[in-house]
Amino acid sequence: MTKIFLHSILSLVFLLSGCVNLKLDERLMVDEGDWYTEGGNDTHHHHVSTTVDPPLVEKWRYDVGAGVGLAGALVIDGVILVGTRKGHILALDLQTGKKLGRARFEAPIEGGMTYNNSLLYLPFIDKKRTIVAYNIYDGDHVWRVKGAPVESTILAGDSVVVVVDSDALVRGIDARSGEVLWEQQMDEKTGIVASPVSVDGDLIVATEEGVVHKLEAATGAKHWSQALPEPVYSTPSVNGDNIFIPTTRGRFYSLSSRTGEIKWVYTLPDSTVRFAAPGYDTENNQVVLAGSDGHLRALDPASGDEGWVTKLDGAIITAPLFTNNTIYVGSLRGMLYALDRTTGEKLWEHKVTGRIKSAIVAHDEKLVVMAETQQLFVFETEAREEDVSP
Amino acid sequence: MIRIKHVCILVILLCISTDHLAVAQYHFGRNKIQYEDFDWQVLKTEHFDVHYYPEMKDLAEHGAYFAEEIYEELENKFNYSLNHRVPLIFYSSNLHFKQTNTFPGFIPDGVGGFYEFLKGRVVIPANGDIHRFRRVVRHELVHVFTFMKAFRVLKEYRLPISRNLPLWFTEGLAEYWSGEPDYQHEMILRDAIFSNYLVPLESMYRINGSYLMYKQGEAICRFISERYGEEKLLRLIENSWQSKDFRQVMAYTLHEDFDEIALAWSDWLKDQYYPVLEEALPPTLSTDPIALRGFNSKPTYYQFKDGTRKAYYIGNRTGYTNLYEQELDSLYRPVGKEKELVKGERDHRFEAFHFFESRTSVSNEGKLAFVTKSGESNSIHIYDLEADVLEGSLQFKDLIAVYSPTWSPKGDKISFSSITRSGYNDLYVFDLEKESLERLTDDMYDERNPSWSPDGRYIAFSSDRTSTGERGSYNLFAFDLLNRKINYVTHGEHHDFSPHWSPDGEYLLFTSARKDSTGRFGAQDIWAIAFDSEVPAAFPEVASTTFIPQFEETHPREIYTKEARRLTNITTAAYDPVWMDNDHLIFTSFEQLGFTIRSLSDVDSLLSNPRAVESANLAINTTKWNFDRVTSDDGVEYKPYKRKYALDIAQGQVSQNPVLGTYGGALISFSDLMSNDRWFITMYNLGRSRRDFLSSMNVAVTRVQYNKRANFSYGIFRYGGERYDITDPDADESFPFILETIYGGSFGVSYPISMFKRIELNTALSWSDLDFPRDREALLLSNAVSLVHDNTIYGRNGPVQGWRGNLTAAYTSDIANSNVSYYTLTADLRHYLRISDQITFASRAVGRLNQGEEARLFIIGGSWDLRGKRLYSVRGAKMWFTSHELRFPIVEYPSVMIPLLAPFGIVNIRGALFFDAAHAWNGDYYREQPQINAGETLGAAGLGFRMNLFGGIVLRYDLGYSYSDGFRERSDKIFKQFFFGFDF
Repeated sequence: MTKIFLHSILSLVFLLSGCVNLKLDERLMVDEGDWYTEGGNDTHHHHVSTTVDPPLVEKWRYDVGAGVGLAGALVIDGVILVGTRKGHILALDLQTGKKLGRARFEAPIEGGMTYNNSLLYLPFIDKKRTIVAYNIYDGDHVWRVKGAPVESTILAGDSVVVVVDSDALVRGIDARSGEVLWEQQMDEKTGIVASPVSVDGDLIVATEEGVVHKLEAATGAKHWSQALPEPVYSTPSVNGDNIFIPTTRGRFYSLSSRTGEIKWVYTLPDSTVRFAAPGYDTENNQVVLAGSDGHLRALDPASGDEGWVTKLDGAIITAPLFTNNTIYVGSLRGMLYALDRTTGEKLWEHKVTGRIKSAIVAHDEKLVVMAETQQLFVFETEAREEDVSP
Repeated sequence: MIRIKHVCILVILLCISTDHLAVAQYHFGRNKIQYEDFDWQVLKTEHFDVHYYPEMKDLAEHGAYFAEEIYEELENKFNYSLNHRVPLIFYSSNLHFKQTNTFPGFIPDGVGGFYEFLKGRVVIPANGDIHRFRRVVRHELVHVFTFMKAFRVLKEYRLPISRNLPLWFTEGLAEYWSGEPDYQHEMILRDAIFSNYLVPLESMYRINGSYLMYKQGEAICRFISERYGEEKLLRLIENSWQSKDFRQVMAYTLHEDFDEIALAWSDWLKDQYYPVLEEALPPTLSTDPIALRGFNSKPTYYQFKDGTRKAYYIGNRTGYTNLYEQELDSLYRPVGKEKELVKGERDHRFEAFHFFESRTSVSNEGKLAFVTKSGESNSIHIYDLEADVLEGSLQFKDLIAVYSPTWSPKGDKISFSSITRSGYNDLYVFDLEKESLERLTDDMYDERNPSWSPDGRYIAFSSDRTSTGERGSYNLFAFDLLNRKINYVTHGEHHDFSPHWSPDGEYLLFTSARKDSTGRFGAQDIWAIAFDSEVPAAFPEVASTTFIPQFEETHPREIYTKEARRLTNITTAAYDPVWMDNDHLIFTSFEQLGFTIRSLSDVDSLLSNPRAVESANLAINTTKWNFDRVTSDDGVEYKPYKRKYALDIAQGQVSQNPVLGTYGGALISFSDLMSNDRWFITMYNLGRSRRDFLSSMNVAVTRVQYNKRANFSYGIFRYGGERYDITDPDADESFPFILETIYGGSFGVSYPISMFKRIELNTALSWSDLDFPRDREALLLSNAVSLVHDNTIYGRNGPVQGWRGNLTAAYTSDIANSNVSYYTLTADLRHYLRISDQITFASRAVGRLNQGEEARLFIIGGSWDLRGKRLYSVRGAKMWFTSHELRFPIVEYPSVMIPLLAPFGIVNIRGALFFDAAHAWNGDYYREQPQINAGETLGAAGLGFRMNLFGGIVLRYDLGYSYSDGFRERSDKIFKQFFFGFDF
């Protein structure tokens, strides 16, 4: 009886403490093709070297228990890591869907998590613990930093972690100790929702008001600023000297990363269209962006000239994903599309359980898709008859 | 106040009561009548299922286009897609809309539509103005997106979905994103600022649901968009999960302290509107009053043969809307008190005045034409002012909404505008002598406010058939009855309404709202334009009525310029100006959030020296335009409507009672999309142990059909178990526990004679097996007939004016064993005499009689009837009861005086001096049964207090002396009773 009582008390304390630790047994090794931050890497290309050709079949699905932010999941070394708006972190086996562990926090995770050097950097919309560096092997909170809520992805270098918050404060934090190395207030009375992006060791941040800044990652020193007329809410992408900035009013910019000058601007007649984060197709040298009007557009990164355009069903708020042959994109009408990477031709479509509101990720010939209601799907190429072993 | 459809209540009560007759005798309420049995069809577009009836197919196709048009816009604005098909239900007129069962209460004239989230349906009437229809479609679809987006946000963060966005924000956003601010928006904001009643941002909850809230909400959204960026409106929804306090959500999203936001909004408004005061004057400073009290509109004027001058207008002083008569002196100043010429809203003939829609008109012979709703359509009534008698009424088959009659100079014809089942508003002329109806226009343009010229040749009217009508403009036109052509009278991107000819026919008076240099609409002022009776050759006719060939412009027209003269420069708005003589006007003025009747003098001088002059070229190269619509080429499909049932209510309840123990129950209700066909399933169990479970199971299944005028209900029921029944015949002598099992079926029909009267017939056949306190089996047949009348209007705490009554006769008998046989007669009459706006004298007289074998007992006692006695402590098979109350105000809106009270939601504190008397008896009138207080006349007198909380809960506290033995004995102590509930 006493044992049951103590067990109950301990369970209650455990529950009330709101903290369950995630402890992975095997250390994750980040390799090429791993998706360790939003967009796959710090340039946010949304490109992964794996082949996932349609038609796809659902391999497994998992109820993650709450919504997930735009940045989506991480997939590293065969393990999917998901941070939810309920404040949970889940680790799932990519092959089987088996839950490997779960950590529970008190605050929702809106921005994207980043994994680097055995630490998972977690952004919270909570003033008590804005950033947590979390060891997923022993469940330790290596450090935590308080501040304004963070809605964007953490940029985690080997020595400095860069965080932008909802008060437009940019901070450089020592990756190991959590010491704030520098702070840079961007603008007053604005916030930053778009995730910072790395360019040649520096970083690009864009405020809600549409002011783009280039900062030195090591010191926070400002190199240049460029005020765009439109707000920026979606994460930019970088390729070489080009910074691709999506805005909320039907305009998409290419800036020079060296000078901040506007190289070109792609303008839609409808100024209410909100562009999602773009993806960059290095192989075909095209930047592909989707928008709330349900169109997927391929642009020439040098000139901004429009290439192919494909109309899909429903608004699109996440970046397209480039796999070896195929572009994948999900819509808010709950449709998952596969398009030809060269022509934009629709190759395959599939209705999932609800809206696709988080970035699609691919790894090891599998596609990871999150959709309402709180479902995580893993798809793989449908086996053709001749591929089936007798 | 929403009054639940009476049949709905009736059926629910039927389901849970074993005593059907008890239901009928307490039941009141007005009737919402389904005059039309609409043949619903479904138009399927990409995202919507548009429900319409065949007569309005055109309109439905326009509405479907508007919905798809705004869907694309909203998908971008909300960055969101809907994953379900949205059902849109269209009605072609407001009068049809009033019949809808999708909303349980009565729908007043001003309601443009609504979105009901339980079934996800959007319900909208057109009522002639397709621009307005389009705007309402947009408005309601903003609601759909807002609700779905906010709902998903909360679900994603795993928060309860009960956390709502503030109403001012959702309505304000719906207004803001449905189109640019209209002239009414400007009118309200100007008035709020100049009359100093602008509600601060932090206090917006105080005006929840009001028209002011809509317009201020729209202004706040516009302010946020202009100052912080339009994207912030969406961010406010996306961040709504962050706090229950929307002020914190605003501060987080807008990156500014809430107080600073509130102050900036107020300053932003003042900065825009204060410069107006440099030139304009409030109506009170520039015109003279005629009728200030209450709400008043649609004035007209007549000078009697004996020289007496009188103004007539529709007004609402005390709750009922009436047609008033006000005598004027030679200077057009009011003399004496106004008179209620026609009392409205009390009977079928004058069911409702259209306060904002329909003008009145007096012929040269002194015949006043006015419009009311009379049953399924509007009627034109003719009142002979000289003879002071209502001469007659006109109602036209197929003309649903008739508005704004105007007399021909000879008084032999009446012209008016009317909406048919198609939903389009056209002009008609009715010849009173020949009794023939002629249609002047027949198209989708919105013809309004006809006015017959003194020479009889022209009918001036306002219409959107202008070349700029596609952008929502209304101009004035003249229908030439001689050559049957329509010509422009004004032209431009204005809202020109309510033309009225000067007595000599030289000028047309009208109101006009025009955009100023800021791009916003200015005040709606009174204008005048000279009219040329012989139009020059260059003066173009207007195309697109079926009676006139399509006008094709083949060559450039000469310029034909006309000057319009502005006679007023008011801050807010003027409506419906009418000439009294060549130098005086009467009109409606909007000011201080109210409508008053005013006069304007020196018109002759104002015509010579107008406040402003604007010229317009009337040689318009008319291009016929049409509203866009979907067609079968767009891939739409046309299907008949099929009933699909969805859940309305699912409610479970577990109750614990010291006498009955614990028992549980559930009520489930299903209905189709139109809510025409409803199923109610009630289940509860009175078992005290598992062994009793089946035998004590109570189940009732009832179906009610609302789609026709007569509402039919039928169902089956099974009641069983031990229950406490103080109406049992033996309850006067024993503790009223009974053990009874009843199986049976019921059938009911409720036929509304009018909005105020109905007949109810109910019958039930049931097998009753009574085990305790006596053994008895019976096959019971109960039949009841009731006549119900109710034209009361309500204040915050209960009825304040009118009367209602219920007469019921019933007979219950055991047709198998003759164990039961009794008849029932009841009468319940309540009258409310309104002594002043705030004081009502309420009287109630009740008689009840049950006579025969196993006649049941009636019950009274408690705060709702016989005060000073415990609840239901007086019982008898026969009884009479009377109650009288003088209800008076103590404090209205105490939180205005003491803001600290605001969170407690105290709307008012009122008092009542009361007197009650009752006598219940069984057998002999004076046979005393003290245990049930029967056989003696009881009474109470004292003082009561009522407190209304949050507009919906009334707390009651009564103190006084109770009396017994025919008022010969008075209680020693003052009784004190605390309860809740509305006044009788």
